[in-house]
Amino acid sequence: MTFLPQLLRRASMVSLIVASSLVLAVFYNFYARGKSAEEFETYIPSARVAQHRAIAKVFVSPDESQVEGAVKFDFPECSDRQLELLKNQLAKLPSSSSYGVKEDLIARAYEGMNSYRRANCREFVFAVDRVLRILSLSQNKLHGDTVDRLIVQSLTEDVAWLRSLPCLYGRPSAQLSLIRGPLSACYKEGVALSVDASVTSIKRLAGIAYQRYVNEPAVKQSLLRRSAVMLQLDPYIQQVLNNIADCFRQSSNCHPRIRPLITDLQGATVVVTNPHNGGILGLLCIGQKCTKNDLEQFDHYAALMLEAPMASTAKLFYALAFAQDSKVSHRELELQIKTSGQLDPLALKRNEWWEKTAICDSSSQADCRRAARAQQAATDLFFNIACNPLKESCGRIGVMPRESRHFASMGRFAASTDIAAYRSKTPFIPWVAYDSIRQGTLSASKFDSVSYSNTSSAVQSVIGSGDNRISALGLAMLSGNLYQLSRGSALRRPNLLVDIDQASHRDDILAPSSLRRAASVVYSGMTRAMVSSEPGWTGDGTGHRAFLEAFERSCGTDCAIAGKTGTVTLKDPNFPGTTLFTSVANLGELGRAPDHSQDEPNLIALGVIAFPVDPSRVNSGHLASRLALRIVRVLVDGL
Amino acid sequence: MFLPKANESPDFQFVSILAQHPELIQPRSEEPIAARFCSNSWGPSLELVDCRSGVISKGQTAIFPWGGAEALITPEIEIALQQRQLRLERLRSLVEASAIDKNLLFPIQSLLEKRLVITNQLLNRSDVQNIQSYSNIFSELLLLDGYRYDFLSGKFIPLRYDIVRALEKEANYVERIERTKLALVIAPYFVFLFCFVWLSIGFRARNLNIRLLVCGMLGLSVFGLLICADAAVRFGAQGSVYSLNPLSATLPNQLLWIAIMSLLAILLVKILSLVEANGLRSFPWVASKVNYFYRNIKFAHLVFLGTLSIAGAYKLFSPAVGAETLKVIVCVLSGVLLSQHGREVFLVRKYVPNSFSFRSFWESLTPLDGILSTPIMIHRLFLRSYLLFVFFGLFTVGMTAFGFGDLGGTAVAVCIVLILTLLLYGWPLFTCAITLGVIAVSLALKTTKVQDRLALMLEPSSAAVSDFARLITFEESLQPYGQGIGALRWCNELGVCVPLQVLSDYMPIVVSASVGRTVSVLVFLMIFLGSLFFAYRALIFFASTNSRLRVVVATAFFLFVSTGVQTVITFFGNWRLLPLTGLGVPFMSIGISSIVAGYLAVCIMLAYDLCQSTRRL
Repeated sequence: MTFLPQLLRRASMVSLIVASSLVLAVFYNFYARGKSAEEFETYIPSARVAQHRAIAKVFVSPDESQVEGAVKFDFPECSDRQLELLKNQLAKLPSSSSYGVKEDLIARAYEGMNSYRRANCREFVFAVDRVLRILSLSQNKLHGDTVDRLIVQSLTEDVAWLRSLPCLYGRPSAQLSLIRGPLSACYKEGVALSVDASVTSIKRLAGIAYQRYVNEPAVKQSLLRRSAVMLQLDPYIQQVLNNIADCFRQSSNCHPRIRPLITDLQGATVVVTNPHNGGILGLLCIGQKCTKNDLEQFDHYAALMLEAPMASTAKLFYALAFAQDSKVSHRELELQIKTSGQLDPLALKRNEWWEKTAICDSSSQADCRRAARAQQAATDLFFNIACNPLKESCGRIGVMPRESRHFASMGRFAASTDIAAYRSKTPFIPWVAYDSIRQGTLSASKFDSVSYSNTSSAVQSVIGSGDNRISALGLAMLSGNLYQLSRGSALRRPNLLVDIDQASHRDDILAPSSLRRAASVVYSGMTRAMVSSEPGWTGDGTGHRAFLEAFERSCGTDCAIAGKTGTVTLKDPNFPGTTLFTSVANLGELGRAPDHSQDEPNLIALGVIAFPVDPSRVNSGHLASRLALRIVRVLVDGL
Repeated sequence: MFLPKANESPDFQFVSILAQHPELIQPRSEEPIAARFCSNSWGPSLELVDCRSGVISKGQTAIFPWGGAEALITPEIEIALQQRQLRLERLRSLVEASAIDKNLLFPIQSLLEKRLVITNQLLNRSDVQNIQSYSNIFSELLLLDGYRYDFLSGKFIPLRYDIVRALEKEANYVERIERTKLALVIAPYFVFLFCFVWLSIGFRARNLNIRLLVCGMLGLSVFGLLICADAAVRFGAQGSVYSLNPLSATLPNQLLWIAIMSLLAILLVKILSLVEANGLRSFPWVASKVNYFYRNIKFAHLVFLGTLSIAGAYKLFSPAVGAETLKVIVCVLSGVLLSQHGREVFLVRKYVPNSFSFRSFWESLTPLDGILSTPIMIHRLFLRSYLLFVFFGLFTVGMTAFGFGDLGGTAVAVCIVLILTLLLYGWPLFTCAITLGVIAVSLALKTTKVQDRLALMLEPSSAAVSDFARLITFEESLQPYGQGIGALRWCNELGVCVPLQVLSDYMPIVVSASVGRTVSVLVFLMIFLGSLFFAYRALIFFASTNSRLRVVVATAFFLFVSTGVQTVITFFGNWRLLPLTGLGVPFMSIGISSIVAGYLAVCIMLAYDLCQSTRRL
């Protein structure tokens, strides 16, 4: 039996060492290592990301990624097929260099990838394929940062476990349709599936909106309460706008009414809204401006962000101010809106009336509140949000529930002007004097600097120059809310997603009655802008020609469309010749076939900004209004 | 009460429709439509074609009619599409008309609808924008048939858990789910019978601790079965990745394995009892064969047979079966060596203390003529079989680690060899072996595979695969008490599911997610300390008996040790204190690899105890 103690002694010593190590390890696991689940919620394979970045760096900036010594295109581990695939990938390289140089690039990419972690041929071909697919997402050359972001995005996995994802519904027809969200959890009685072809046109945009909404901190944090939201985009309207994007890509699918305009357009942004509820029904953003500054990731949502100088559309804010002033003739105001100034040869300058009226030039200036009222009207209509003090987010507005970082912009109007400065005895200098200073025949130093500055600010803002900016969304909402006010209805905030429980409930924001009365005058002026010349006033409405061209008839006095044009001066360094158009159209009254679903909105508001290929080409006319009215015509007639 | 309800499974509901309409299940077409479409575009040989983009290699001539890829949808493809359309429409109408909970079938309905829309678009040439592009059509055809295209190999691979597989005869989906349904019904009765049989045998044991051992084994097995049933019914139901439950077959399979192992174990108990009682005299033919085997077979033969069996198990079956075979064979050989030489080595050490010096060890290895010294003779006597065993150990470990990539099985085998070395030859040789082990581990650390495993352990949220990141959020989000047995959320709403090896490799995490981390630590301690305790008991039995079962009891000792080591490796791997090795939790994880060694060890101890009881009586 002496054999046993020796065996046991050895066994117990090992057991003791093992057991104590285990206790320490268990202790360490539960007490010393304290990472929370949140730290693991996003999985980013850093080594793979680094490898992909190394490949992308070689492809995007070949000159910066030189490695020492010559690198051979030699991959002994690769099968025949993998080698052929690599050679085919050479053709897709975004470099215009020769085949030999491209071979060198591939070899350098392999070196770069292996510097992080040894990769086999399969992994390499796969990584090159992924990088090339990312690079081909844009027709433009992507920036290194953008490529990096896209690489991380494509390799990242959201592994949060208990999050209740929101349900995204749409209403392409009378039936509610589930577009995104966990199927079982989002199922409701009577809900259709989003696979229906009727929602194909909005699928991509719905995906982007959903992704953005899901990543909102407030939505992310609501672990247990599931939110259900409705997407306001209208599949039919979006289909028409998508067709314009196809036209821009030279597709044979282009609608004949749109095709003639395309050659004149360098780009355009269009937003269609429903004036009754502020819902964003359709979006379009085409051209280089939509892909610059990382906007490409937003697809057509870039239309909600891109801004342009207000040009004459700013006159609508002043028009609201003038209409509240008993000293301004309503008829004259309407006619001034119609032609966006005076075309009468007796008047020396087209905007003279607007500029003079803005600074109360012909009456007592001491109590001149017009500029202040115009600014107030813009604020009432949801412009200038978060502009006090002026910051980067000035003019942005939330279009989703619980949105924390607003990406959509309405615009800013006289946002930097201090209203208090208008409250002096002589807030402005005479218009003639200001004009002389502008012409360079008089020195500004002869006048009080505050008065001069006030005058300059008022005159600049009435013609929409200076730092005044508006987006296509701002344009659409401007018309839409003017329509609402003119009918005595409440103002509407723009919205892309709404909580489904509140989809029918309208967030009523009643404007002061003086503003509502003023709006009916302004809206009437906008209606006149679409008709031809009238007795006693020189010139056709600014939108008349575009209407005539689109509908092949004139717009009568009971025209179911109202609008206002704007054109940025050719001297503008960034937006020369850019045209803007804001409008409200009643598709039913314009002759839309009655077979359209009753759920499709008949009344729409449009905001269009068009960037011309050649700003100096006068023949192309007012591109924004031409495009807008052709869109309206296609919506009326059908694709 | 912990079993999930059958009506929680979309698969069960779906099968109830399919079972009534067998005409919907048809043989899989010889090649997917997407492959036909690709060859229509690029010619019949697809070896050097990337079907996704249609890039041509090695000068193949394109027959792609530029100006609309929809033209490539030939009448032949159209016929195939029409056939699918008819089946899908029929199925959709059946799903819509069924009285089953719509909430449950909504995801399946959505999948059917999606495929129908694609079929209609392709057949009617509608949505022109989409179908003008070759690559769009190709990817939609792939989706339609539930295939994946591996552009690196040019192969079309059927997605195993795609809804299309449910409509293919070859997948046996209906039969599989019907089996799971049946398993769910019989599971409570099975558990009752299983417990009854084992307890009735176990409670005949003389020692209380053997009774506790049987109870512990039963408890762990039933706990594992309940988790397995939950996954078989509900896995994937919350996510969108798997349209069919990939773990549905685990419950019937696990019931079958447990039943087979229980029967074999009970049979083994009986055989061992007979051997111990009368040395198989009641069966003279068997006794003569065993005696013949015992006289003629040498350790070298056993080593050879063992190596062959291990290689065969890895090659012919699966890594899991291979690992279990490796573990059992290493334990058996260790048991044989220990029982053959244990006592002799002890006596030699006692009476010839210098015999185990390094010098005599080297001298024993060199051929010498003439009279040999006692230490050299002793070395030649004992070390031959030990070195043979070490050679076997190194060979199999190398084979499993590098040939079959099984780190878990290797680790357990190495631990067994080390413990045998310590028990037989003491600390000096053990230290040498440990030093060699450390060198081997240092070399292994240089390999990409081990580095990946280490990265997975240390930085799971940025490692090469997302398995651990998913598992950690899965487990952490359900603390401190877990979500309960039979109610686990296997997938999140983003469509991310826990890895499919969750019922084998990641069982500790599932236990923690089910009943909380504290209970999972208790389960670990119970298995580990239990294994340690019963290994100790087996060692006492081995050293204090002259029974015919000495070899078997020594084997049981190593089996318990291997169970303990496996428990540590698995739990610590799951807790990220060790690199993950792919081993399961003994008795709990699914598959044969978690039950054979454990059941064998329990039944040896039980048989030994029963024999002792009979002898005393």
